[in-house]
Amino acid sequence: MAGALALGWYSFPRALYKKIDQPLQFSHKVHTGESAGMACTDCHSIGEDGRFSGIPKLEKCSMCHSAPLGSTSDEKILVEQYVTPNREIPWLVYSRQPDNTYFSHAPHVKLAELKCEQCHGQHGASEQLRQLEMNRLSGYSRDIWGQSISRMRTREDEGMKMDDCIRCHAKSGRVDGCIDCHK
Amino acid sequence: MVRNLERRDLFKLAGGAAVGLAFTPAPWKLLDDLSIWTQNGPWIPKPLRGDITTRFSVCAICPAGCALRAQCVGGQPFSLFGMAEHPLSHGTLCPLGFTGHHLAYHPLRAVKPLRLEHNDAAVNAVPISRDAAIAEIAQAIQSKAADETIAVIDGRPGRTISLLYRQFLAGLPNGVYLREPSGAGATLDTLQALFEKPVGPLGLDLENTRTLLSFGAPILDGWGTPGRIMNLERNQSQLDAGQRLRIIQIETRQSRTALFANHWLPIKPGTESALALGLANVIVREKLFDEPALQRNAIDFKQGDNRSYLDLIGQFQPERVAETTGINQETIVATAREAAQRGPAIALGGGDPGGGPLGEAEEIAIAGLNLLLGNLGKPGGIVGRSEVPTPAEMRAAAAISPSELAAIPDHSIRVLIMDAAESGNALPWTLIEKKLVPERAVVVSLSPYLAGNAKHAHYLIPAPAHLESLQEIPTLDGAECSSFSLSAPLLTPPDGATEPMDFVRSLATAANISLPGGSAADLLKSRVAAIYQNGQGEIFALADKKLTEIKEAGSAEKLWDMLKGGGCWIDSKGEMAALPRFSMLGKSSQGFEKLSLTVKGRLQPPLPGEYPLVLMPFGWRGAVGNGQVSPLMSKLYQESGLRDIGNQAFINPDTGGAMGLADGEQAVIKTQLGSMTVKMRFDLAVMPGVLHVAVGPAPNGTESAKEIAENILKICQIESDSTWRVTPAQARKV
Amino acid sequence: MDTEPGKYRYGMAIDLDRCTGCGACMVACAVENNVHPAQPRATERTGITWLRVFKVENGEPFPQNRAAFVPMPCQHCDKETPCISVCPQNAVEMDQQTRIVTQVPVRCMGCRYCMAACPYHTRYFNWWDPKWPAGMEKTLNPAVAPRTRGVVEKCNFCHGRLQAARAKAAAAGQRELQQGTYIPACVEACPTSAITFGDLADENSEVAKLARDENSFRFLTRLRTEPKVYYRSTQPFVRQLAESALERLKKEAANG
Repeated sequence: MAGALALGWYSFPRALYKKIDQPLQFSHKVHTGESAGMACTDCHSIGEDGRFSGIPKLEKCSMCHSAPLGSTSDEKILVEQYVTPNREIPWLVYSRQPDNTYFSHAPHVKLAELKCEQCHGQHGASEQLRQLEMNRLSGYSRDIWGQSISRMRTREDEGMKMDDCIRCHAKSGRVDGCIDCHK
Repeated sequence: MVRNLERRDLFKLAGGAAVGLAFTPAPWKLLDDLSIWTQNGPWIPKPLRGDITTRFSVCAICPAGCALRAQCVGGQPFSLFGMAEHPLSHGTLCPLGFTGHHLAYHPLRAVKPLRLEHNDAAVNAVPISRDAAIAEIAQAIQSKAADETIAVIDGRPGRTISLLYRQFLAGLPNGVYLREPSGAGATLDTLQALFEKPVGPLGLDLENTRTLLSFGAPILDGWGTPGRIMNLERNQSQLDAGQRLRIIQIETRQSRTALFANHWLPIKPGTESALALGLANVIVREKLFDEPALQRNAIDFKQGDNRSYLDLIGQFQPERVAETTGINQETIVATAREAAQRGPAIALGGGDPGGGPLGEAEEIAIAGLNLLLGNLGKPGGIVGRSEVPTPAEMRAAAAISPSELAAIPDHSIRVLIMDAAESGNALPWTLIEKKLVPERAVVVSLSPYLAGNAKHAHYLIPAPAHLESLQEIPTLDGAECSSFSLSAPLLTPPDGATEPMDFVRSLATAANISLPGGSAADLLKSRVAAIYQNGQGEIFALADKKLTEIKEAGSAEKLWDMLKGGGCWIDSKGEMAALPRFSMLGKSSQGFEKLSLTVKGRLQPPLPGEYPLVLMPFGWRGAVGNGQVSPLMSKLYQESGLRDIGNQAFINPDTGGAMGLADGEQAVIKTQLGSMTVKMRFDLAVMPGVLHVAVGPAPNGTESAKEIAENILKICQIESDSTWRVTPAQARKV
Repeated sequence: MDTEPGKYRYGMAIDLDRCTGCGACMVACAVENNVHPAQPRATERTGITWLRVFKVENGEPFPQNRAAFVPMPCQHCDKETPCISVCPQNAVEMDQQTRIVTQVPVRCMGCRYCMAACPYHTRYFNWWDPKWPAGMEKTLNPAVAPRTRGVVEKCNFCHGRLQAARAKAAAAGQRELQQGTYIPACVEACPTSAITFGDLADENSEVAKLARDENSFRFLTRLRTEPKVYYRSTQPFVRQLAESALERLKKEAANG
């Protein structure tokens, strides 16, 4: 039985999730570090209409990277395959939610003044982009359910399912309505 | 220690696994994932993702040209609304406008040129290259007989392409430029024709009118620019009761306008002229008009050997008119008094989108009423407006003047080109057909849809669909001021679509006719430049959302940009020079006789025994011609029953009962031209003995070109004056 | 299942004297909320119209016959909401903050109990998978999720617009919605401004004043559902209809 358990523990996530590489490697640490010195909001900002910019468009990268700035192979790919032909980079979004859910950054960032790390973990300080572990059945990232299949979370920022949002809402005494988050 | 595996062991393992599995998170996770998958499966269409932006344009579904504010996702419009500050449309959009962005994806939309082969009742569409089609059409033009004509039907005259058509036709022997006979234009054009000399463009100063005698015009249901009427209505609440506009709707059917007008006069079918002349009779008899002015200016007011205007209306005494129209005498007299005494009054004809134009006699009678009411050139009446400047290179187009479809000889057209732009009104194929040379005629349609009259064409060279190309919005018939706007494209047309201007230019080249060069945009730019150089009027720019002098634009290029961005140019109200003399009976020598005959109405009773009912087609603007409505819209209206879908017939319950019909059941309507199956609906608001049949749109909107039934106009009688308003008919159960 | 009064009580006041039955509201609603053009075999009972405009008549013969038009969205019953009390899935709830009766199609299992319970017949079922003509799915509104077959849907007072208005207010640091920032599509579309929308809890709002108007009424008040959609008409035959079912029978018989 222990053997079966161990086998399941190991192979179930491997069978369920498919690891996909990002189209390009990107280091948040380099961009927020000394050489570039950017702030989170330089690329990820909330517009006047309340919409979040999400992952920035190519033109944000092109502003600086019209020619390769570094010597990595990813730089070369960036300039040759994307900036020059003006092709949007097909980033994989870890926090992509189904069409019937609605999430707005504006009230969380501007009104509740949450820090990015509270939901997105240390992603903003990462040196490279990890692979997206895509659930073969639902099509969404492992980040949504959380790393732990049994949902026994170890980190506060793990999981982006409805219960994870509700847990935090309840702590701050917010009264939730279905319509707040469902389209 | 190996022992033989038995079946029981397998079952034990399976059972144990199943139970054990329930204690692991696996099944619950799989269940959750599966449910997410079912909610987001590939069978559910997904909205586009992308940046949300706002773009501006102008709706070009009908000639009104209402301003649009489009919410777009990644450049694709998904929501259209009006623009509140816009001086022409005042933020209003009609239901068609709200779904304009669907039209490019309409199931009946054609994306490449087609040759249409007609066998029996079916139409076989075969793709053909544009060049091959144009070569064949040019060949047909060149091989025409001496007495045959080449014609173009233009649903929206006044555009730059209209001038291009006219220039093209002027270069041909026997070119004929045709307009659809309808709308406010009919009343104003008829009025124009009564003057000895041309008086320049006319408009209706509805904003200052006190009484509007509307002979069936759908004033409150999509007439003109709907926003203009809504704005007018909104402003009424600020006026005293005595100063407010009163709409008197003179119409057989209880249309929306009739229902919401201040007064509805349900006249018997085809008796508009009798009532108009009856009202004139009262006004003259009670001396409620400026007699010296009319004596001075009207050539045939009193003079004419017992065939003067006075002699004519002498036949239309209220008692007689009451009998013909079914409106009682007191009402006729009261209406005439109100119109003449309450303040400025306008009489308006034009017909309605489905039932078609009123007819020449009716329009002359209505024009005469306007002249009698003395509203020409006065506030609240029929006013002059300026001409929209034309670039110098297009002025040669004036060489060929427009003709009415009614006026040209039957069986004369060898090649007919039907332009893409819709007037919003119906044009029965039977009317067009009788003007075509039998067997030899070649019909070309430029419509984006394989539907309606396009189905009868031999070639379909589809134009870009709504919002796919730059369109021009010249002044609307009935507007009180001249205006000009541009409808900028929000979508990309397919490669197979052909701009009508490019088509006409290619055809001209193939037929060895020279036309001014340049692309469609170039010609439009030169028109805008002409407007700028003229220096008159004001412009509305989106940026400031107000009107400024045209000089503020700075240059023709800046004006062009402003117009493309959703602005418009408006001229100030025109001056009316001293009026020339006019005839009240029309220029035809038969005017007196023709108008006299109308005292009995169009359908002289009793109707032929076999056809005891009067069939009157009707429809809502934009939904009755070639142009399609979004399938979403036609379905919504069908489900709610709010608007009448094509081939729905309405009959008074008593009449229906007498005919042995049942409410909601299929019935067959028969006229001398044929029969058609309709859905019969009993309606208490319908005049007994009358059958109102909706002309369009198709019930579902997603039918294929083969499935769409012919509309009721096929069996409507076309009169000698090219009207189809009333047809004797019968109805019986299927 | 009454909850304590919320902060806002969103409601509507529809002036039937102004409604011309053009259907712009119906069309704008369908476009805003991704209502699909139904199957050819859909009828007036199986089609989907979150907002449906009915024609009502005074029953007089020609020429005294007169009609009026009544737009009917979900009435957002405020008290003992019938659909909420019957739903086995909690797919519909009374939103505590806005008192909008919110339908969540994702939770619905399609039993249609709510459709039976709704006295106004303003709930619609997806009998078929939504199908748009080729290419037309590009015109879908990203703010509203399309539904699958087998679920019930209804007017939510344009929740997509409420969410957008809240996001915009939050971006500007405001916790309250400014008046006029949240307008459902039908309200914006109406050419005669017949529909007024707003917070009924705010005495001074346009909608509250119209609701108190002497010619204002609501439908089926004897059922004590306290609908939040008020109607106003100076025509007696229209007011008389308020206490009887709308004359659907004729239409049902006609369209099957």
